Amino acid sequence: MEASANVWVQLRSIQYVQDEAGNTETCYPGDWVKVGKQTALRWIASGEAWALAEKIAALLPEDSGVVIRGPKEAVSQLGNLAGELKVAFGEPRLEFAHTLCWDAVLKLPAHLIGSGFHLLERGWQLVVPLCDYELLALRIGSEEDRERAKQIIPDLRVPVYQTGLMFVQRCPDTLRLFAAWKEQRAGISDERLAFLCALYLSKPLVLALPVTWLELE
Amino acid sequence: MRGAVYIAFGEPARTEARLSIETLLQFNPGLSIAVISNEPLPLKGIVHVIDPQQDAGGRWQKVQLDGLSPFCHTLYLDADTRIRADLSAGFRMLEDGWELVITPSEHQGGTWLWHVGAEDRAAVLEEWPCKPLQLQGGMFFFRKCDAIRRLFEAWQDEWLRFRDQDQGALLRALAKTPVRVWILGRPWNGGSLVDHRFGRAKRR
Repeated sequence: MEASANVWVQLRSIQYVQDEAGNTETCYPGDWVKVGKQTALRWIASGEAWALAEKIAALLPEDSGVVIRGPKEAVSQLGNLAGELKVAFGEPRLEFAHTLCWDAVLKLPAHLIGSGFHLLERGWQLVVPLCDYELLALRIGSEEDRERAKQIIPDLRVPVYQTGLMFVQRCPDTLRLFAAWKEQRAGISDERLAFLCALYLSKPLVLALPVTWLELE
Repeated sequence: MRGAVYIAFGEPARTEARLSIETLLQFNPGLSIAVISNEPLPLKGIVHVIDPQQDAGGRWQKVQLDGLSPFCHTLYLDADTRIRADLSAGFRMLEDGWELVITPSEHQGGTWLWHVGAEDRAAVLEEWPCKPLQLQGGMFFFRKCDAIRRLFEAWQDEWLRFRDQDQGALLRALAKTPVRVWILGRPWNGGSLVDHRFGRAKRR
């Protein structure tokens, strides 16, 4: 049993749950069970359980919020969390201590928001999915963009990150990243390639997520 | 100092390592090479790191590479790789400040950690709030530093739990000890730079 057993979730699948005495109990869909934060987030992320929005919000790190690049109506995609998270609009920026920078042209994986923020608490400074396992930096941008990028990144046979869905902890490394991104965008027209160059230069603790974060039905 | 390290126990792995080294030197002449094995490989000009075999796949040595590698900047290669190009860009990434340079596995989604035992796989999920990106541990660059030392210590602890494959243990170690990871594309492991003939080095 996890040390911080502190959240009630309702199961959507059969789970074997340990009580405080260490006994394992079989729990069924519909049962409410109290589990640790990481287990709760994992079950919510995989669709094996759900929790009330205020319970999920309570799991988020302090000063967490979303910066939405898109229309105001996009906030509805946050689902139940819309009323629980701080929200700002505009270009990606480190508005909060823990910011989800979301471009509303992408479908938001609302069930994964808690997990994304939790990964920041686990020590990662930037948590961002890859666009595609096969898409390489040498296939994006203009020839001029790539020439500039090659001056920074020694080899462009590297995957590209989806900058429309990034969880970012505000810290000196990520402040450098965002400043470098702005700088690189002045010379590189492809936003993702500019980001890759900025990432290479600033070297935050970046966690690449699988593309499943972008493959929503 | 830059160098490449192989682990080769048993004749199939030793033969594969010799073939891999030939291709490595063809495209990366002058690169220092070390081979970890229980007896010297019959090749001149390489560093022999003699260490007794502890498990069938030489994985105990792999999770101790930060200590066993004689190089500050190390390229680890599985014996069943064939090198098709200059790999110096990977070393430059280390010199630029990245601590671990590695490719994702081609097994994500439904085949995620398919080769790892059920308990080993479940232990990975216990450490993460969601399924992490599976990394391919058959080719990676690392530089010796405090963060990498902590990562390898955690990797050893995690590998000792099941003493089998190393990829699940690496993901658990990364969950506990984040390091600065630069992700490479498929050409670097299983593609045009490094051809990977998965499984050829296994004991038969």
